[in-house]
Formats: sequence, C-alpha cells, structure tokens
Amino acid sequence: MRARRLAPARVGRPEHYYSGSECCEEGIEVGRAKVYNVGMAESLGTFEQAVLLSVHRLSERAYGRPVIKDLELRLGRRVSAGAAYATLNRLEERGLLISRLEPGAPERGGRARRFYRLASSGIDALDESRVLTAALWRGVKWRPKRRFA
Amino acid sequence: MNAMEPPRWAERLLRVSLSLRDYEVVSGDLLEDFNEAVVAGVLRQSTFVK
Repeated sequence: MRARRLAPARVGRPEHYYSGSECCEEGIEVGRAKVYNVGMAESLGTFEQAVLLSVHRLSERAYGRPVIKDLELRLGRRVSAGAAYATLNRLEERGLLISRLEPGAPERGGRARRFYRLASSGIDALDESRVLTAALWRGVKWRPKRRFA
Repeated sequence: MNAMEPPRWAERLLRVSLSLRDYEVVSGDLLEDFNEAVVAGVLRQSTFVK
C-alpha cells in the first residue's frame, strides 16, 4: 500500500520555482496570479486534486471512508479503496496532507482512525492547479464542431 | 464465522498485504462498511418479509 517516496512538492514558491532540472524565476501573469513553469511530475493529477478537495470539504471528518464516499459522489463512479488509500499516503509523503491517528469507536472494533487535513503546501498545490486550469482555458471559445456526431 | 463479523480469511488477507501502519486504519474503515452493509441487509430483509 505504501507508495514509493517522491520528492516533496515544490508549489506556490513565488521567488524560485524548480521544474525538472532548471530553475524558472520568470513566471507569467495570469489574472492576478503568477504561474510558474510546472513540471508534469510536480503537478497534481485529477484524482489527487479530487482527494485533496474531499479532505478540504470534509474538514474535521476527513478519514478514509468518508473521503472514498465523497469521491464517489463527486466523480460519479465507484472508487476503489486501494486507489484512495494509496493516493492519501502518497499525498502525505509529498507533504501536501498531514494525518493524525485517533482512537477508534466501537462500530469499528476500537480500531484507530487516521484523519487528514491539508498542509499549507497542499493548499498552495490546489491553488496552483486551479490557476493553471484557468490559464489553460483562457481565451478558448468552447464551441467545438463535431464532425461525427 | 459469526454472521455479524467479517470473514476471518479477509482479515488475514488484509494483515499480510498491508503494512502495520495501514492495517489497523484500513481494516477499521472496512469493518465500518461491513457493519453498515449488514444493517442495510437486515433492514431490507425485514421490509421484504413485511
């Protein structure tokens, strides 16, 4: 279940941003925010974003099971427990989530619950993903002509 | 196997496939799911019998 250890995410650094092997000091202005060159390995995947947002949404109740249920509700599909736990572990190892163990209730046989909350770098990562998505869609008039409709 | 307890082989499988750090947390979450499913099943059954 333990994901391999990844380099800590470098997000939301306004002064220097390392992307791959090069350092990018110059960013581009997108609205009020500045977007830096984000390497694909550093950026968040869609599922990772969904997990971080679920943790944020659930706030004090964010542990494995409610996170999985919230993901299923939001994504409109079944989410495997393995994928969810692996992603939670990976995001914690990257420093985007912080977890704490709490003693379990009788309905779970006294087994501990691991609650998650966003770390400040997790908030930065989500913010950056939001700005990047907005930047990608900026200026696109989405009225595609479907040839094979 | 008790009707209100998950099968022991499933517990054993979790224990060998998960790290110690994850076992307690994941098995607790699954036990909550199991209990909820059992309660839902009992309720469905009682509705059907009526």
